[in-house]
This record gives sequence, structure tokens and C-alpha cells, in this order.
Amino acid sequence: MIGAPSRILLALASVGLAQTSVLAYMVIDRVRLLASGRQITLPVVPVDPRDLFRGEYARLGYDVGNVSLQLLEGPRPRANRAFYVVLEKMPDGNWHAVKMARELPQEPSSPDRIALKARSSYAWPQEGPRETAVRVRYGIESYFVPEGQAGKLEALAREKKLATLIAVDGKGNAAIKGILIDGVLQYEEPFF
Amino acid sequence: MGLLCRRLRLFRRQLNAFAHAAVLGGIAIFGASIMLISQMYHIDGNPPDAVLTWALGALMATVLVRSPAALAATFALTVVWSSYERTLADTAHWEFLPLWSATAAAAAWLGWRPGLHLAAISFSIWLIPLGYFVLDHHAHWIVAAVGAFAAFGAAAAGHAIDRRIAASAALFAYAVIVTFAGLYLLQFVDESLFYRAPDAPWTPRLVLLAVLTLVFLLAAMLWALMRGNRGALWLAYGGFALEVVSLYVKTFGTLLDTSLFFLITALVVSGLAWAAYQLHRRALPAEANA
Repeated sequence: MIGAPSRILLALASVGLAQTSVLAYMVIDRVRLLASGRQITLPVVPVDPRDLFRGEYARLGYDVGNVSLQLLEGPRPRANRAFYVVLEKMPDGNWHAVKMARELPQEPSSPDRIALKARSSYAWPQEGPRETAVRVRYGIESYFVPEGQAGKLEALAREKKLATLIAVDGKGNAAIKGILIDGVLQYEEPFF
Repeated sequence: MGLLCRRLRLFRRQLNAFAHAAVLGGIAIFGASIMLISQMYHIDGNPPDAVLTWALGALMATVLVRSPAALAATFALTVVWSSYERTLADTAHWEFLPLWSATAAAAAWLGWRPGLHLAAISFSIWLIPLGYFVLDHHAHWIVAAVGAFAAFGAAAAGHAIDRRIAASAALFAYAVIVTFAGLYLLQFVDESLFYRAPDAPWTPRLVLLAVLTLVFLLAAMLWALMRGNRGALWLAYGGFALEVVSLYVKTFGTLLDTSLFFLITALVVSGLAWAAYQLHRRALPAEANA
């Protein structure tokens, strides 16, 4: 297992560089999404769990997290495979789900419509009425906070004061960009 | 980067164990960094993807640094990734096979024998529950058939396998485990735990499967005795004991039945002990002549 020092140095440097590149890609991908993605605002209803490894966070729930099976166009996606939910901005300013599909819908660009990549939280119902709601997650359901802060966010959400500012890229990937309280941006995520 | 330099210093000073521990530490820090970035940017996507990224990083460290410790970590992460994906997606998860194959190839390339055992163990962990995810979701017979085929192949082509790599004995032992696990799931686990079969203990299917299992285990014991394969022998003994106890729990209730059951079991075990003794006596003069 031991070779010439120069070979070991090269191997270790390659591993270090490659692993660091993967981590850098994760960061750059998020920064690009936060910096250039379209923005929508979604009201939230959090609860207050703790992650054993990652500390305290607020679990964020969204109205668009429950989507009627009636909105599905085409075949049902496979369990835990990504699909897309199209949201449309209603006259009251809130976003509502209007369509689900396995593939990213190719629609003309519109400020009032946006597609989000999603996964179902549970197995897809095989039988049952078309009115059945599917619980979906968009990857924006966790908001990590300093210890003791999650409870405060939860209290605000119970009073319906909390909303998230979401950045969405052209492929439907979504990221939390900030937290709004009473419609005012209170926490904005720094890029680095 | 500090850990990287430390690894290099340890390798230079020929402190292999510490150097590989440092490689393992580097892999752990890589995984922790993935979690940390997920936390920083509130990424809550598909968690198995993060484990896959971690496993690929570990595999790369295995190949470039030729580290057995990294290889062990890769096998462990590959199993965690597949199990996680299976839990969420309820699928067979065939994507496991390419990554497992690459990791097994790395184990063969390193020539690290425990790595080949890890390859067999990780593959068995993926294979044994496969019946829950294919066809009618009760297809444990596929697992039993694959295991029996591998056991038969290891027995029939043992010499040919051993000429390339001395692995037929280990292959036979793992095949015995897989076959027994498939048969055991069919008899006792699937229906009794998840599908609540009606209380009709002596169904023809159970009788047939129990006979098949006991015959297979006895044949495996005899073959292991003849070939001096101690690992397979003890595994088959263990399987036989578990099968007998499970049959007893599932089927017998009265005092007379219990007595009859244990009498038959005792006779079978006595017969096996006699066969083992005879084989051992025959083996001793052969060893003395050699």
C-alpha cells in the first residue's frame, strides 16, 4: 500500500482536490440558484424538531405541499423519484398548484407560473379517488436555526406571520433565500 | 488539507495503520462537510443522494490512496445508500450493482482478502431482502434459487475457482447463508409477520419448504465436512438449529408432539455427529501419510 512519496503525494492531493471540488460544487450550485433564481413567496406553517446530526431546525409546511391527484398529467411518478409541480399565482397573491407531471413542463415563460421539482413524501396511492391529495416535498422544508430560535419561528407561524422567500432555477430546483415576517424580509441567507 | 499533510507524513514514516486511520478520518470529514453544507444552505433534497456522494468520495480515496480502510468505508456507505433508497422508494434498487461492482473490483485490485469478504457481505445484505421488492413482493424464492445456484457452482467448480483465486470455500459459505435466508423468509418471516397467514401450521407449502431447507442444510453440512470448510459447517449447523426451533415454535404445541419432534431432531443430529466422526477418522490417516 505504500509507494514512492511523490506518488502518494499526488494521490492524496488528487483525493483532497476532488473531494473539495465536490463540496465547492455543492456551494456554487446553491449560490448560483440563490443569486439568479426566480423568486416566489410561500406562507409556511412550521413545527420544531431537532436533527440528531444537524442540530435545531424548523420544519416548514406549505399549502402547496398537498397536491390533488387530479392535477397529475400522464403516468404516476415512481416512488421517491423527482417530478414537477406547476404553481400559479392567484389574484390574492398566493401560489397554488395547478399541474403535476413526471417531466419538466415546457411552457412559455410567465411571471405567474413556475415549475418546482418535487418528490412525494409517501408512496403514491395506487388506488382510490382522484381527489386524493399527494403529500409532496420540494427540498425547502427544513430551515436550520441557532439553538432556541426554532420555537420563535414556530410561534410566528402559528400566528400566520411567517413566509419564505424561495429562489427557483430553470430546472425547478428550489432553495430558501430568506424568511419574511409580516411580509417583511427579516432573515436573508448570505451566499457564503 | 491539514489531514492530507498528516496522511503524507504518516505514509512517509511507514506508519501504515495510522496513515490509513487518517484516510478514514478524511472520509469522515468529507461526509461531515456534505452535511454541514446541507445545513448552511438548508438543503433538504433526497438524503440518499448525499450518502451516494459520500460513497463515491470514499471509493475515489480507496483507489488513489490504495487504502483498505477507505474500501471498508465505501462498502459500508454503499449498503447504507441502497438501504436508504429502498426504504424511501420501495424498489429493488438495481443502481446498487454498478457501485458495488466497482467497489468489489477495487477490493480485487488491492488484493485485500477481507475486502472480498466485505464484498460478499454487502452483496448478501442487498440480495437477501430482494424478494420484498420484485414481482409480487413475496419472491424470496428468487433469493433462495440464486443462493442455491451459487452454492452448487462453488461445490461443482471449486477447483477451477480456487486455481484463479482461493475463494470457493468462502463463496460456498455465503451461498449457504443466502439460500437459507431466502427459504427462512418464505417459511416464517414474510407471511407470519407482514401478511398474517391463517393459523394452519402444517400447510403443504410449509412441509415442502421445511423438508427442502433441512435437506439443503444437511447436504451443506456433509459437503463442508468433506471439504474441511469449517465456516460453512458452523453456518449450516446454526441454520439447522434455527430452522428446527422455528418449526417447533410455528407448529407444535402438545407434550407428545414436542417429545416426538425433539426425538427426531436428536436422531438427525446424532447421525450428523456420527458422519462427522467417520469423516474425521478417515481424514486423520490421510494427514499422517501426507
